Amino acid sequence: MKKTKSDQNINESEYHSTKRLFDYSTDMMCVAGFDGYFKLLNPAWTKTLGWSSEELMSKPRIDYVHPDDIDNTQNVNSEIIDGEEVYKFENRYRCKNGDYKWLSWSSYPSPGEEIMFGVARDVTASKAAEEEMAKTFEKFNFLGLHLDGVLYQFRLDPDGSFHLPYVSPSIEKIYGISPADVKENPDFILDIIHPDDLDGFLDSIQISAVTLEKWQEIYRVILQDGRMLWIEGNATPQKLEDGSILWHGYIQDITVRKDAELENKKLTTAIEQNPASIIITDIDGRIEYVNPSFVNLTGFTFDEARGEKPNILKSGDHTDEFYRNLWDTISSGKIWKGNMFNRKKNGELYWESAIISPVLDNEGQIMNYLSIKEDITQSLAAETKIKDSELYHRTLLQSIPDMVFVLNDEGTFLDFKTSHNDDLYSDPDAFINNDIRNIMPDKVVQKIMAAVLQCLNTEQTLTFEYSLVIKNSTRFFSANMVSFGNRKVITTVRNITEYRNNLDQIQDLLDIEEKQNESLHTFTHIVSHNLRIHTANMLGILMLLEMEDTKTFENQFVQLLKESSINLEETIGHLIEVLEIKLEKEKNFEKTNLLETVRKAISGLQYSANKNDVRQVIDIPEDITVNVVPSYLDNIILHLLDNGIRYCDKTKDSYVRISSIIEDDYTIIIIKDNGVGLDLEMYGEQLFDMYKKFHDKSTSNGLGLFMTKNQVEAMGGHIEVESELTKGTTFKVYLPNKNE
Amino acid sequence: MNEIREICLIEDDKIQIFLLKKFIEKTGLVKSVNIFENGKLAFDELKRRVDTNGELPEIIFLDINMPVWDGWQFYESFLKLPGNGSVTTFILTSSLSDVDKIKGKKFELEDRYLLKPLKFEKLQSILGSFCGVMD
Repeated sequence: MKKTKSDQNINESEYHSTKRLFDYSTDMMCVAGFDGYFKLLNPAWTKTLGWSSEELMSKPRIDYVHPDDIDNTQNVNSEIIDGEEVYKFENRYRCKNGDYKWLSWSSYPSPGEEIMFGVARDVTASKAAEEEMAKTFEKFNFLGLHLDGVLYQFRLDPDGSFHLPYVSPSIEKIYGISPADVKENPDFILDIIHPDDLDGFLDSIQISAVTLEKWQEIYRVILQDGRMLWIEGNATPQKLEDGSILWHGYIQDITVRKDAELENKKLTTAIEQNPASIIITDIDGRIEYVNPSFVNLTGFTFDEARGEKPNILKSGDHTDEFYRNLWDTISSGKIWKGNMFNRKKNGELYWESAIISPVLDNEGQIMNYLSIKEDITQSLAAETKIKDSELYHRTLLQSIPDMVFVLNDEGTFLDFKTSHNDDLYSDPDAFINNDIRNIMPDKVVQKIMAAVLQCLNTEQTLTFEYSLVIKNSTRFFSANMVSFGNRKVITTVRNITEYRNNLDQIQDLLDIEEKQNESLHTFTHIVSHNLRIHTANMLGILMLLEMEDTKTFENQFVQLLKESSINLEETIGHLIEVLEIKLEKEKNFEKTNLLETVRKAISGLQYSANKNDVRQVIDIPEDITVNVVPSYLDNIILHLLDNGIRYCDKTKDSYVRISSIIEDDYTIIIIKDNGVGLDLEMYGEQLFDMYKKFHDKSTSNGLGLFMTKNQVEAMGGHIEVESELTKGTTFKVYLPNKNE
Repeated sequence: MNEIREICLIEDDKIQIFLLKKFIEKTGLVKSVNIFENGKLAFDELKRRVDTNGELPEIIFLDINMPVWDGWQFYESFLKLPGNGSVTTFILTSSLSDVDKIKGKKFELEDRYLLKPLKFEKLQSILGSFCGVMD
């Protein structure tokens, strides 16, 4: 405080004012000497510290300073003494009652006077608050560090810029960035938000800023290492006086929860959309859940089913035993599988296959039962069909006497079936899944495997034969092989031993017949040459005798000899003819006009017909052609017409009529007369036999019908006769149209 | 009327030989009848004649069924002899067998295929016409 005499008057009132200010100030004011003692103190000191001015000025100031603050205080004192001004220097002064108070100093020196002026304010209260806050803050940070989430403050200024006044250290754990860095670069928190979520995020902040309602948002962030996190943020906004909005909030990583939610959603969807009907019951069997497939299938809605037991589907078709078994199984923690015959809400019955399993909690206790069921009414029907079909084919297979086996291209028997174990080279059980090479002899293996390859390559049915020596006798087998499926063949094998033996016997018989034919040929030859030469000789001798010795020739014995010779010659002639028809292998068939043949025969017989007064009537179309051995046809027609003329009835207007019809595969020639007829009951079976004569007429030689029948049959036809005594006779000659 | 100089009878059956010789003599149309008991003997003789520029017979009556060479063996070889065209061959057989008839046809002998017993009248007309033709 400097005073000069010159302005003493003027400054008198000023001084008083200043003195008053000095005396009444709540701040402590002082003048202190460089020597370390207070020189002047205002009353605020005593008010604040309790010491009187005298007490304070009686000791060095430093005696009142808190021991911890002494060094600092002395340093600052030195600075002031050196001429510096000091602001807001804080130290503690001891009060009279022993407490310390925090004083905040503003001081400046007056070096000439070796004094300093100082103003100190009691900041104990705010310092305590500050300390308290620091402590709280420390706790807060500590807490934040141990939180999974991040505590933060977010301030949005009216100009649109934003800041993060506080971010708890745990941000490092989630975002991998330190609180200091994010404060420095608040854009970071927007940069990492998933692009799809950014708009929603910003909108939600805007809304919360305007409405001042709680901000809550779930969004994704993509970290620098590429990981994606689900974040849930909650914050309460507060409008500040300057118009900015400050949010106090908390964000946390909910990725695990979100994943679980998604997983859960997936499972729920799988159950909801599952085509199988799914029922979840509690441990008492009361329905807690049914899926839409259940609703579709049974007709019961979720609400109708809930709380009921699955026996609402009971058809009454299963025994109590069945259900008891089911419950025993699942209540003992096991899975029950089976088919059930159930009833829908509308009464319709259906089959379903069910898998019912207990759902266990973490301790292994049954929580629920889960039933997954599928309507198998259709597939059951199909299965029954397949089973039927399989049974059918199996039965079919069993019922055929053949042996059947299936081989693959490596020669393994895949299936094998026989009803004749006696025909087997090996034990019947040795075949299936065994290699053919282990079972059959090499020669047969080669044959069969060659057939298998050919069959698989050509995909054609193959037939082959093989033989095996079984129980010391050779058996012959005929095999039919067809390829099927994936390089497999099915083979049916028939024992043809008997057939082969029969074939041999047939061959023997054929050989015998061949031999007999040969002997017959020889016989014919003998008859036609060796035998006949004698009849020729006899007749020749008789002719010579007739010429040279008429008298002897006319002797009755010679005449009888002549007659016998003639008969013998005729007989031999017929015999040869018959044998030749039988023996001739290749007959010369020719297309022959029937009408021409008939006309020829009729003109040949005209003399005889006229003599017997028999009309010959032809009723044959011109265009009928038959495929025949012409000479046979000539004979047949000639003979049958002759027969009609020969056995005419003299008392009648006699006729013999020849006609033809075509019927099916035959051309039928009909020769009908109104002659004396035959008693067929008496002669029927013998009519066509050799040397049977049915009339006393001497002209008959007894061979005609026999020959005729033989010739017709030699051409593949047959002959029929109808006759009645006194009425007449009708012959029908059937000639096949297909003769080659 | 010309006379037939020579007929060859190739026949193994004694009675036939006897009968034919008798019948031929009775016609009085033939100067000589030579008998061969089988085809081989006949062929050898006829070949010898050809080789020695001898004369062949005008007519041959040929039996079929004979030992050594039968009728067909003879005829087949005979057709290869030069000058065989001047000889008329008749088959004279007791065979009614179709086999022989067909063979006869093959050798174009179907018109000269005679069956035993040959009737005198038939022989007479054959030889007669033969002489007539010769005129």
